[in-house]
Amino acid sequence: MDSEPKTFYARFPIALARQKTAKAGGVLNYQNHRLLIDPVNRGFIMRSGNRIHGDLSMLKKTVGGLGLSPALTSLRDVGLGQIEVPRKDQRRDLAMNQTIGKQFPDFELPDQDGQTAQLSELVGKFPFILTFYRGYW
Amino acid sequence: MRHYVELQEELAVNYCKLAVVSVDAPAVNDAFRAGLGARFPFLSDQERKVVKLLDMTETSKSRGVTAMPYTFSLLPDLTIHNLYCGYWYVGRPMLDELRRDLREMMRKVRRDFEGPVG
Repeated sequence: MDSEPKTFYARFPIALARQKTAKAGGVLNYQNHRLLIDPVNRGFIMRSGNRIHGDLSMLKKTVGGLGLSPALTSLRDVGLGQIEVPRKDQRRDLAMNQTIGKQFPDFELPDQDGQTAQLSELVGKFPFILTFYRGYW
Repeated sequence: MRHYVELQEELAVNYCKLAVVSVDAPAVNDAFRAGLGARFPFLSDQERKVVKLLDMTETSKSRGVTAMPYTFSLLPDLTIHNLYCGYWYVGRPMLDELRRDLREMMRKVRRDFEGPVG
């Protein structure tokens, strides 16, 4: 069996795990990877550095419950072994570097009167400042 | 948000525009906007469609998926000229930084930026 990490960087939030599990039947799509999550014993997908790991015993239970092979010896058996995922701060830096000079999506959202407003129509022919601020989170 | 209210007069003189987005309902935005005396639009991303599309969310145990503050300086064709991640308060743009962005963008899009074109 592959050596499992002793310490974990983060635990997947249980509230989100439950919500996603209910919708996805135990399989969560995260960062373009399919990850299995345990709806009862907290989310067992964890991130250590830039790698995602899981608790193998919990994984076996969940996989068994989904009718998949219980004969797992490694997270690699279900494609979970050492998935390379940039940390959130790295991804954000990457995103910021990549977005300058690129096209912003022309979204539609309701304005303060409930009327649908399209971004390109708001912008017009002059420079534009768009701010996403914290409301009620 | 009050400093944007201060900026709105200046923007109007330059024909530049400003809009803000929150995850609050339109009615909440309307009340907030009226209280501030703002004239620019307050958009509502209650479903968090746009903030998720742009990967501008964070996840916490207590609050679930929450939107993070960001500011974008956009050219008229929606090309991103500059952006500011406001996760930390000091990451949010000062008015002078926005003025600098607006100056640079105006220089790009207005042939008459340096005066009337002869």
